[in-house]
Amino acid sequence: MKVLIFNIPRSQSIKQVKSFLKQYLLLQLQSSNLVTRTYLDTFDWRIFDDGGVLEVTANKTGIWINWRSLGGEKIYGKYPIEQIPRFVWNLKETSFRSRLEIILGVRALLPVAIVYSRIHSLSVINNQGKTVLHVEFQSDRVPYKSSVSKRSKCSAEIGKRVHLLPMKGYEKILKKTCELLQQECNLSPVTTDPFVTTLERIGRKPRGSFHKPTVTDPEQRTDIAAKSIFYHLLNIMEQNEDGIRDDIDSEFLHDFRVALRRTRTLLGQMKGVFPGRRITRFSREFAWLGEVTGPTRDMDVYLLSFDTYKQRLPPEIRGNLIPLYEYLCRHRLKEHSHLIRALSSVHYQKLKQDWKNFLSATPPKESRLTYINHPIINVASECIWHIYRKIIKKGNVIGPDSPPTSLHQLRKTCKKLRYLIEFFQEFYPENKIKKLIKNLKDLQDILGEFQDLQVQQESLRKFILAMEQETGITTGTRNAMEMLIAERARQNRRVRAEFDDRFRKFASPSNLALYKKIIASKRILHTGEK
Amino acid sequence: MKILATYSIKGGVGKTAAAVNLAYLAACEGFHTLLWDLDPQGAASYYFRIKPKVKGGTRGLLDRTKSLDDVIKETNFVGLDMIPADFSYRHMDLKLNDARKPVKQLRKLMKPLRKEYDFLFLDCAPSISLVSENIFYAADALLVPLIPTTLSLRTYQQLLRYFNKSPVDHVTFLPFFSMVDCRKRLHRETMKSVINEQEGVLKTVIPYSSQVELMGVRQAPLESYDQHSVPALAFEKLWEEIKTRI
Repeated sequence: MKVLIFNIPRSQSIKQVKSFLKQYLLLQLQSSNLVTRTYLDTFDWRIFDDGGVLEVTANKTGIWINWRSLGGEKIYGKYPIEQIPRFVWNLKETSFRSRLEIILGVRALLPVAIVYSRIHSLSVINNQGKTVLHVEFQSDRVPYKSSVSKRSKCSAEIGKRVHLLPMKGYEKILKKTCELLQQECNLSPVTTDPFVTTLERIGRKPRGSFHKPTVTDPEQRTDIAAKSIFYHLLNIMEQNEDGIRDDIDSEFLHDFRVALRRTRTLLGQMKGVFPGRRITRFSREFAWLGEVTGPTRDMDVYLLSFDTYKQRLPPEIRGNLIPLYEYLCRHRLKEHSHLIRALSSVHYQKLKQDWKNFLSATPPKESRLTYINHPIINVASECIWHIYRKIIKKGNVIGPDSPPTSLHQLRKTCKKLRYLIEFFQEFYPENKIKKLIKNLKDLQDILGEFQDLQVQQESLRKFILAMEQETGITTGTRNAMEMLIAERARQNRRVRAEFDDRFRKFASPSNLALYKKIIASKRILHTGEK
Repeated sequence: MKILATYSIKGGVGKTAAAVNLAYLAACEGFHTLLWDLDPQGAASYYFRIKPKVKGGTRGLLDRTKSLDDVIKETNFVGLDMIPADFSYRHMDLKLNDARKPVKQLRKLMKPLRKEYDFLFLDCAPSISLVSENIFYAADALLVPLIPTTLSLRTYQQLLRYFNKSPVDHVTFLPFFSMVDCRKRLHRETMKSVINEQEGVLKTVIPYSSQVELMGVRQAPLESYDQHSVPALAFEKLWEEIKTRI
């Protein structure tokens, strides 16, 4: 369903256009309201990236949420709400919510722009007295901060428009009204969505640097290329810091930790590119950062999976898990305050400053470091090949009796390989690299699931003990948690049985041939310490 | 998507009033709702000021030259759409009979709408026919209005007997008393005995009221213009009760 928008030029007034339409159409005034329109999106612009606009309009009669496509070609849903939702689960369980949930996931909705709009709503009526088209005359104003006085409220007009909101099943009248507006009133259809115009007026750009860091020039010097990736990752970490502090949603910390892990992975591969002492020091410091951010993330994961836990139990005992939820919430708060303290500490600030100084230092023209002057493609291929071989070696020795830790170690190495391939994927043929990533992802999925199930069992046991000591635990809750542990153990055995197949596929001769062909052929012809 | 059909073998029991008001209430709560007026009389379409005409008629729908989505009309109320009635629905039985798997045709037609809507209300014509069997296969719940009189209860018994022999076993029965006049001793006593004898009858009672009849004059759901009236409050209560049972 297309919403058609026409600009009203300065030379024409809303009143003029309205009286013109009245000559041809049976119009009925519905309302004339001052509306506050809040555009919502996630921190990483997920709705915008999906080609949508989510707006909440509030006037004296109520609040409405409206989700439409950018450009207004389709309305995905509109319904009344009581307050602006922060998360998708604050909305009622409807098809609207489930469709939005696919895009938003666990991300919070943030106001990205606010517009004050004077809206005159009219209905076009047919012979039966049925509304067949909605016509809205809108004049928008955007608030902005005055440069003269901080206290004064200022707003700038961003234009007058006619919105035609067609009704399903009544398309003829829409066509007629469009023709009237274009041919008789000389109004031109809007080419830019009002949301984009608003963002332009308030100076906001819809996209940040959220893409994964990559290097495009294969001939670039290794140290310079690596530093550009480190910069990008540091940027991501810094962008997410405020969200972690304000505790907006769990993805801020998650993205922060992913950027941190990527940094650590690449740093670990930079022997012979940067001085060993610097690498050791920063590796140690980043490991510390990983440790201090870990507990909050763990709690986030448990809380996010809590509904899944409940679903695994029979409905009549699901309520027994509430004390566990309360325990997790309590401890998450505690861990989060520790995390904030760590992020505000001199230690962290100094680490960031030193890292920035290191990254901004002028690259030496000459150095005794082995790989510093090599083109990045050779060093990257060397690293990828080396890690791939390591995975094969580690995986080959894993048997049915191997301890879970061996699978965990393998998982960590797989993650390293994935990050490295993603950093340098531009150097290799796109279709081949996609195949490599897919094969690796299949193995990572099973290892990830295995590790998660393993950790969950151990943690649930720890939680039982901790809850016993802290507040005491009822038999019902203990039984429910033990049932959950048993269920997780069953799942774990199932996943473990699938590992051999997945690994065999990853270590297959065809996959090896692919690595040899596209990766090993480009590595440094030097078998030194790497 | 939940499919709720207001159904009764007997006519004039308040099926349309219930379908229109319940669909309106569902839409008000933010559920994307569709109402299909299956009665060729087109009373539900009239209440929404929509012409009782479907392009291509019954044949178009059953031959698949038109999908249900092609014939949907948006009502004046946000979130509430409608498939209007068509006079050709009177021949729907005959057309269904010509199709393969005649009792599953309507369910097939509704399938593509499952992702789009949260609720689909079917306002059925009073009869027990092939169209009714199609509805039984498609619906998740049957809302059966009962006037507390002998004839109305007799048709309900007929329906129960039919279901005892029918292979359809997924449908939830939600009978409720409609058009009740508490001044009448017969109504009071019949309700009492039915509640004692029958399981699953909804507690909410829709009273007989001229305000419901006024819907024909206002051509809008009662809930949209007189939401504090006694029957409007009863429909709200009924909707709340239905939600707990589906």
